[in-house]
Amino acid sequence: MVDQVANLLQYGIAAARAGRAEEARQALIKVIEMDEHNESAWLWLSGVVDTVENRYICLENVLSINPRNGHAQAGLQWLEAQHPDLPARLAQEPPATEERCPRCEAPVPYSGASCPNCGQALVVVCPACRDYIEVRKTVCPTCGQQLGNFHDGVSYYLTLTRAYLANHRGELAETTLSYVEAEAAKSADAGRYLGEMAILYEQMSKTDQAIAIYKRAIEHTPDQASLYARLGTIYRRRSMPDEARSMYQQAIKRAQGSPEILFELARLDFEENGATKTVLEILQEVIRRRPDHVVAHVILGDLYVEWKQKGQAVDYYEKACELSSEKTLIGQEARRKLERLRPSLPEERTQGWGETFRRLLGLMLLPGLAALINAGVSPWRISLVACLALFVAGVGGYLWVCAVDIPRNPAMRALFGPQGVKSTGQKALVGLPGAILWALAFGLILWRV
Amino acid sequence: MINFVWFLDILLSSILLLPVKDERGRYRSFPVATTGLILTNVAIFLLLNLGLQRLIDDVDEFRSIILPMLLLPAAIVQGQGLGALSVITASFMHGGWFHLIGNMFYLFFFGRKLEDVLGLARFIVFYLVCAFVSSVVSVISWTALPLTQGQIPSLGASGAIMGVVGAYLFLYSEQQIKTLVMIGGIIPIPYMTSMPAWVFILYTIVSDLANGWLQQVAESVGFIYSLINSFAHLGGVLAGLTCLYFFLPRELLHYRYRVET
Repeated sequence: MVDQVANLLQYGIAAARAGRAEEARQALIKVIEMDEHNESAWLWLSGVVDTVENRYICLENVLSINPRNGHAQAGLQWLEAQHPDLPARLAQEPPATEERCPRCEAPVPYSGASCPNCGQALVVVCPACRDYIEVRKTVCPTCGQQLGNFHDGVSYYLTLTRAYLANHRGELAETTLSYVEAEAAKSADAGRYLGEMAILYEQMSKTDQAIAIYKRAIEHTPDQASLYARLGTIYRRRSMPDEARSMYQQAIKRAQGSPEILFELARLDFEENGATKTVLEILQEVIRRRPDHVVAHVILGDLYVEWKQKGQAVDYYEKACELSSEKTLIGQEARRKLERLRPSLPEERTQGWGETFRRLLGLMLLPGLAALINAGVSPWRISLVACLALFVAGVGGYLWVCAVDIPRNPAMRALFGPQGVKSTGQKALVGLPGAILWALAFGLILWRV
Repeated sequence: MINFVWFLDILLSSILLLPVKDERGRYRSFPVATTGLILTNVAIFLLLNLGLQRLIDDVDEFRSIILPMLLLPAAIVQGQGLGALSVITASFMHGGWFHLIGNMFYLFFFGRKLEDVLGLARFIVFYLVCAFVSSVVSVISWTALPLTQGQIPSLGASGAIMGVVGAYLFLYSEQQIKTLVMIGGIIPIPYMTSMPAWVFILYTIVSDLANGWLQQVAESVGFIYSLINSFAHLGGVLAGLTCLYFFLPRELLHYRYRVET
């Protein structure tokens, strides 16, 4: 910060010496915004401002910082000699300035951070390059960062706060939130804005402020379920289960059983009381309402593990794996838990010949039993044609099994490579003729060939 | 012994257990096969009982159309009739509304869970396998009965559905099933009891065993005890418990008995 002020000051002085008055003025104003007791900045600014009045003010400011500054004393004496009525005029009139508030058009001093009339911030710090920019600018002239339109009021400040947070500028975010609060108070949509503000406080880990703002938001919009739910979550994280439960119940009442809020309530119960029937019922309700809720599936799995019902646990972990990518944290957790409960079987057990024939036998039962019944439940009376049909059903069934159940069996690996039958096209190529052959053979047996 | 079994049979048959809900409250996908089978059964029932019966006034003519489609054990053994096709036709026909609704209720409850595991095509094949195994058991048992000697035709999806029930037992014997108990099959007890799946299925097996045994004993002394095809039910359960081995993915089979409850 000190370096930045020194650099800017140096730059401003250099610009002033080179005769680039506008450039020098802007740099020196920025210095003063950062350090309003900077004697040199005020002194050099007095040399680049346009009006006599402003020059007089700058020199007065120098003397208020250092009453023994010879340059300022000499300058003031000279100005008073040239314009004898100047001190009296300045005492009567508001500060003469060319700057006006972009919102209310009231005159504003050069060094002001906000408009004394309407409270509008006059300068903002760019979240990306951290340069000082006039509030009326929608894009940072230095780095091109989008800043938005300050006329949008609360939304503008909320966006700016989010940008500060994203750039790890917590202090600036907090300062900006004070503008949000002031603007929100004037808005008809105060509840919503306060809610968003509280979320930002949460993100800044300022939970005390977040709680206070949520409570104010609830006063404005008492029917907003999400406010109760978020407040409940803060209480839950602070290990205040009773307050959390009360908030969740209020939220559920208003959101008519939103799965997200139900889930939070279940998680609270699970953390507090462990695996109970109530948690189970709530989580099942969550899944009924939102079948793709991955975390609910994982917690249900945990619940059944605690009850030592591993079959059920495996089911829920499997479903969680199905619903989530292995790249996500929750997906990895679900896979880890599933693997711990049910380690993967070796390839030869799941894709070998034995497994292929076991699954094929399942398909062969139907034509086999049909042939047996047609033969009067006497296997030795099964006709030759039926035996041939059974053979065809076997071939068809084998292809069907290869396409659907055991796609990497030894034969398919030899034919299609180590991945076996993988693509949809390959599956159709193998499976479809198989299913048709099987169905035809079964049909022939049914019609007593 | 007979008195005890008779008492047991009367007791069990006076109670109807309707499964309402279990802990497996989720499905991988919509149960297309189960819904399709239910709709097919209902459609065939409506077609035969409301459509065909009204079209054909002559009862004898109606019977002559219907009869070959039923499962007649004696005809099967002698290699007459439609043979294996009659197994399929009979398993999609029902004797009355009560018969149809009871069966479809069971299929709706257990079928969805099994279809979830097996997938659409395998579930249908498995369902038909159960129908065939139950028919084979039924044919062998009924023809062995001394009095009727397989001359009574049977119909209904019970055999196949009991196979589905048996498969459910194989997979989820530890499941708690919320069950509605109906006295006499029509008066519900206004309290939903929760019982493990194995108790629920044991009830049906004991009930069928008692009924089947009494049938056999009764016929040996010259009268018919019941026309319920308990042998088909038992055959279905047997099929469900054994044939499922050929339909399950290896992982499920491997870990089935390693996942203690």
